Order: sequence, then C-alpha cells, then structure tokens
Amino acid sequence: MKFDWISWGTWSLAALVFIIWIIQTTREFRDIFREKGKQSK
Amino acid sequence: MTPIDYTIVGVILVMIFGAGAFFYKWIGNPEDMQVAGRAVPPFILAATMAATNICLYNFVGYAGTAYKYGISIIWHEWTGMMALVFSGLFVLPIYRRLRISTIPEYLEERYHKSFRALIGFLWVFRLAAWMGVILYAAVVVMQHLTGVPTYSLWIIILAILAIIYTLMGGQWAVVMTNTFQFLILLLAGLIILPIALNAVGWLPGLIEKLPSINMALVPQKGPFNWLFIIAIWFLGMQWATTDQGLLQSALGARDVKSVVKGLVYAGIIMTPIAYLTVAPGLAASIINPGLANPDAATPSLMLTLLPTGLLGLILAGLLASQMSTISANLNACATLFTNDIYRNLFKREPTPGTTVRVQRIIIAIAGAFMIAFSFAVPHLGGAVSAYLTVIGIMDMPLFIVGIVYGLLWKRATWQGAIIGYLAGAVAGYIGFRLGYHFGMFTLFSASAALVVTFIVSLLTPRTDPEKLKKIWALRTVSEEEKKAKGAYHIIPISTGGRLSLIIFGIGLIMFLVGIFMGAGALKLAAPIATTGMIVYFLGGFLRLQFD
Repeated sequence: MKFDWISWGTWSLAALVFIIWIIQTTREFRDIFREKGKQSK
Repeated sequence: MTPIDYTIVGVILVMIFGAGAFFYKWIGNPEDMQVAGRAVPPFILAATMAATNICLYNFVGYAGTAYKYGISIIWHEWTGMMALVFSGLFVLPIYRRLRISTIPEYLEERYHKSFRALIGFLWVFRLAAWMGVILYAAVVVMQHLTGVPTYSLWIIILAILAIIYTLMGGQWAVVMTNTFQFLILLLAGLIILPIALNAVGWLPGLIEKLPSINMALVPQKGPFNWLFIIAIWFLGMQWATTDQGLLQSALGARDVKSVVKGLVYAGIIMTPIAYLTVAPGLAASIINPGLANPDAATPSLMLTLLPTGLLGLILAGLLASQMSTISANLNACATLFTNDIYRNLFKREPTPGTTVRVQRIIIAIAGAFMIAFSFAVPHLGGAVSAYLTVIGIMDMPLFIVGIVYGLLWKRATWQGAIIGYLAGAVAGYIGFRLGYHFGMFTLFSASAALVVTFIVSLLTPRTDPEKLKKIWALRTVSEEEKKAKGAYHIIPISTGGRLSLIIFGIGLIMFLVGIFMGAGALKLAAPIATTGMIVYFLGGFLRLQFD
C-alpha cells in the first residue's frame, strides 16, 4: 500500500502543534503563577 | 465502556473541577471574571480560543456530516480559521484598543446604546442556542458510549456539570482549564485518526471505497457544495469578528500584539486539526454504515476500535472540551447581560461585588436556556444543521452592519444599523422557512442587511463626527502600544509587512477562484482552493514578523 502522505503529514503537523503548545503554555503558566505569587505577597 | 474507562473519566473531571475551584480565589473584580484581568499571554490565548472552537461540535457534528455527505464539511473549520486570521490582523486590534469587554460595547461606541442593548439581549439567546448544540453533541456521545439512551438525563447531568464549573472560576477558570482541555482533546484526535484510517486503508482506502462525491473537497452539488463553502466563509468572517463566545478570551489579551498573535496562531494551528475531526467520520461510514443518527459516527467508531483505558481518556477529553466550550459561552452570556443590559436598565454603575453576583445568576439562567434549546436540536436536523440555521439568520446581518458598514462606511447610522439588522434577520428566517439552501438564505439575510442599512442610513441624520473620529483613530497605533514598544500597524508601514499582506491577498484570491471553479466541477478547483488557503496562512504568519 502507498504511504499516505496527506494523513501522516497532517497528523505530524497536529502532533508538532501539540508539543509546541505544551512547551509554550507551560512557560506562560509559570510566568502567570509567579506574577500572582508576587501580588499575593 | 469498562470500570477502568469510567475511573479515568472521573479522575480527569475531578482534576478539571479542582482547577476551577482553585481559580475561584483569583476573582477579585468583574474584569477578572469577564476578561481574566486582561493579562492573558499569546499561546494560552491561542489554546483557549482553540479549545472554545474545537469541541464536541467538530468531533460529533463535522464527523456526522462527513459520514453522511463527505469531506467538504472540513471547509466549515478551514474557512473559520481563515476568518480568524483576518480578524486578528484587521479587526481585533481595534477592539483591543477600545478596551471593551463585549462586542455590543463596540456597537455602542460606533452606533448607539439601543443597538448595543438589542444585540446584547438577542445574543444571550443566540449563545444559549449554540451551547444547546454542544450539549446535544455531548449527549449523543454519552448515549452511545454508555448504552444509557435517556436523552433528558444526560442533558441535565452534563449541563449542571458545566454550569457549576463556570460559576466557580469565571474567565480565569475558562482560560486556564481550556488550555489543558485543548491539549487533551488534541491528544484524543491524534490517537483516533491513525486507528480509524488504518482500519480502512488510509486515504487511498477512503478514495477507493467511498463514492467520489463524498471525497470531493469542492463539490459541485449537494448541501455542502461550493455555494456552502462561500456562505460559510462569509459566516466565518462574522464569527471571527463578532462572536462574543469566541472573542471574549481575545479581549482579555495582554496587549494588541498578543491579540494579533493569539488569533493568527490559533487560526493556523487549528487547520490541520480539522482533518483529525472529519476523517474519522469518513472512516466510520465504511466501518459502521447505516447508523440511524449520523452524529453517532465518531462515538460508534470509538466503541468499535478503541481499547479499554484509551476509550476513557478520549471520552474525558471530549467531555472536557464540551465543558470548556459551554463555560466560555456561559461566561460570555453573563458578561453580555451585565455589561449591555443590566447597566442600561438600572442607569447606575453597579458595585464590583454586585456585577460578579449578577454575572453568576445569569450563568445559571443562560444555562437553563441552553438546556431548553438542546431539546430542539434533534428537530432541526442534528448538530450542524441546527447551528447553521441559527447563524445564517442571526449572525450574518450583524457582520454586515457591525463590521462591513461599521468600520468601512462613516455614513452608516444607528437607525440604519438597527433596521438593517432586523431586516436581514427576518429575510434569513423567511428564506429558511421557505426551505432554501443554507447558502441562499444566508445570502438573503446579507443582502437585506446591506440594502436596508444603506437606504435607512441615507434617510437619517449623520452620526456625530466625534464618535466616528474615535473609532477611525483606533486604526492607528495607540499611545499604550508606543509606550510598551509593541506597536502593531493594521496597515503595515514596512516593506516586509506590505509584502506579507500582498501574499495574504494572493492566497485569498486563489482560494476564492478555486471555490468558484467548483461550481463548474473543474478538477483543479480543490488544489487551487487549498493552495490558496495555505498561501493565505503563510501571508498571515509572515505579517506577524513585521510592524
């Protein structure tokens, strides 16, 4: 069977989004929690 | 479903509720409740918008439509994403500079407070209708996966869960947990796609086994044909520029640059994800043909193909996404009511405590409307048909009046706007009742709004020039941006910015040419339209790299 470039390509893009988003949102969450921590002190 | 699956679902839901309860203490004032204190950074913003947008409606509604009619429903999402990028580049910077909490607030700034109150009032029902569609989708999933078919039981359970969750943490809970839910849902999609496609021989298998009309990306005929794509693209523009449920998160962005980035990123990332929701529907039409309710395509596929444990995880992801969409929209309803109606009714500024209290009461009332509408969805032809009917009638005229005339034609008056909006909605409703195609009754509502607003505006006194000056000034960089050194020019001043905008425009033209070629059943229609869309996104992405 021929390799399904479209499906795997789309899947890889979505997987890449998943990984980038985990890294970036973790960073942004960390900053927000730090900021809120400072405010509560 | 096995006890292990139920346990996984329970644990994830408890975690989400825990997060909602945690953010309860962050609600100090109405801005925290409504727009998360205007402190949301770009990636979290994009994820929360993606979670509000990619939800059960896609996994159930899109998959169900793909199951019955084929792949072209994917344009529902793709055109929406194109519109989101457009809105981020050209419209949202204006809203953010206005520092508004609701879209009707903009309508007051541009037109009049009566138009704001009218749209604020209508939109509480409009959003409740959308939430009813989401709730219906969640019920279809639960009915099929648990084997408990009682419709009303599931409606009540799922609605109460979402209402309590929103009451707890306001927009902070929406923003924070949406991010988490978006990631679970994306993971669910990443798992379902290869399993489903593997079972049918991947894309070549789909092409071989399904009728060619079902695999046509820009079909000439059928309810989801080229005309549908044009209509849904127009409606996507409306959605991305005036939908309170979607944009409330964007209005909470940290600054203008964050809102532009948030929307453009969200648009681009959600485009491949659309395939993750549509392809399982196509696979289900081969694996489980003849389902009485096509909206059950993905749940039936999950039951057939997913092993224990994974089923629970994916169900939790789907339920979480339903909660995130409903909570964002419930919060939007409440914000609309408190800002656009409550303040006007009582003619005085409520205390912050009162605003938060009223907000919570409205969340409960809007929740009740949502439950009522969810019972009407099956009678309107399922998730996608019900939603399209509502937006074709109510949303299209708002786009014409609020954005097209509101931002481009100074002569448009508030009387023209109100009468034009109502004329558009009535024309759309008549077209729907007469049984016209969705694309046609959307065209009726747009045309009526275009013509009537134009005529009535010319017959009524001009808008106060000071009011117009304020809105038109928002097209340029604000003092706040200059100070923060994060200036964003809607019309770029650098060569790179202009070039990226040209690429963006070429992409848009290619997309439109491709779709219109679909009317003649030309072979190149789909490749040209999709290439156009990719070029359009590329232009949008490059635009972010310049002023």
